[in-house]
Amino acid sequence: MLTAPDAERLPSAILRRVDDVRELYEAASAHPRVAGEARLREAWLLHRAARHAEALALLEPPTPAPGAPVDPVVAYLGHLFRGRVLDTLDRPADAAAAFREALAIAPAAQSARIGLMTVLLRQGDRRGAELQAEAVQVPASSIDPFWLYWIGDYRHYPAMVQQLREHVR
Amino acid sequence: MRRLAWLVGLAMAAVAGLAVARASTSAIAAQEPQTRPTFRATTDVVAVDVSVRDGRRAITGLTAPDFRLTDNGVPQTITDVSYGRLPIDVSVVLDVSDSVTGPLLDQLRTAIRQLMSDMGADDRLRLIHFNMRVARVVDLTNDASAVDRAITQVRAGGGSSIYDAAAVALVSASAAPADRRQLIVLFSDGNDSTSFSTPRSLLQVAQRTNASMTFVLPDTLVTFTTRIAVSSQAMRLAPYERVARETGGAIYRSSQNLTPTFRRALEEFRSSYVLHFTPQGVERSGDHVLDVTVPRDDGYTIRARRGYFGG
Repeated sequence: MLTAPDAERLPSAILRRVDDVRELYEAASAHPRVAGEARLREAWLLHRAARHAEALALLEPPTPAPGAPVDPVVAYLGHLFRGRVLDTLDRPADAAAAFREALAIAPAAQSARIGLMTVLLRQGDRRGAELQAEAVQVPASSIDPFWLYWIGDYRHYPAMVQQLREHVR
Repeated sequence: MRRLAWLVGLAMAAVAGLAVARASTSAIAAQEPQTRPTFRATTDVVAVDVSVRDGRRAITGLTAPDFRLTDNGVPQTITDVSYGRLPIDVSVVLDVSDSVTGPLLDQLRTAIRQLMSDMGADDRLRLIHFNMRVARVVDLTNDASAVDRAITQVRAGGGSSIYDAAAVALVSASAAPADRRQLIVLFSDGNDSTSFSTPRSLLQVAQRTNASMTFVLPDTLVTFTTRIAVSSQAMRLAPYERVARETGGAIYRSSQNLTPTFRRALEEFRSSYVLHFTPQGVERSGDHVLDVTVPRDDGYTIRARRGYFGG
């Protein structure tokens, strides 16, 4: 498992195999139930491989297929990652808008607020940055979807266990 | 095993939390905080913390002519030098992830109590905790009992968002009035696992804020013996070293007894100078690189902020 943002750039051994991994994600994208998450993970991989334009193309527009279930974790991460990629591409206003869209889905999430705080500070909006820093420090018990990214599909385990129990009965 | 336990717990909690999000797929209104004072940062007058030491001994009695300060290579006139006059706000940022438990957590409690008692009457302390989430538990205060109550209630667990915590502490500290000095002391085991901030974005925040950031990291990272592990350790330390260097802070390594280390961080900050100057001959906006020297003696160790960002 890749451990989160310990390093900003992928190790060279992984960089050499980015396209191999990309093919696997694209194969997964053929399955409607996981297509959104596969695109998201492919985009994050490409971003970390410094292929930002390709990453951005995968992250917008985040329109789910008709009838496809809306996964709030994937929706949040889509906006969050788009914000990060846009920031990297030196489009701070668009990045801030993307982080705000993420916060509209999960207002207490720390990651998007940190992203927004940093962008505002770099834009010279110190007051805005400070407001975001204040909001981050308000105690909250909810889980930031970004923390779930690194643990794959664990968020589905309780539902899977429940389904198994129903099959056994 | 501990890490796996909190990951599973996190996943379970997330399912419960996101059930709410599913029930309301439309936007939940973002809650913006209301009021806070404005930042003190200005390029009209720039304040630079400067530590001058001979070994661990502070060099005292220096005046403006003893210093040479350049801003983007242009020599500047130092208009005021203060030493020990300005009150200090200390933001203590504590890692309370699952790797900081037992005796280490007890040491931290003791160290903070001692730090509080070492502070001057006009000094204040703010306490910020972090595991995955960053949370302020005590805002700036000189009420020792409030700090004591807070640290008694500390419970450790979860992952570790060190970069996020450092970034938030830097932004918060920069909001303070110009007549107060800002020291951030961050304690962690040094292994970030859940931050959205990256080393680069943290450095950008450090360059655009005013506080001096010092890290207290345990010696455990230096126990690696293989070449690969040492390299990994160097990589892990590098982001903290860059932020400390950029802000005029320091890195202290200690596992045995944290109390003297915290005291040293405060004492070295207290026994440093604040130089004031109004930038001349340089563009106000953009990046400014600072260089501070004491020409009369090259043997001194001088630690100062590397620059600032003119808005």
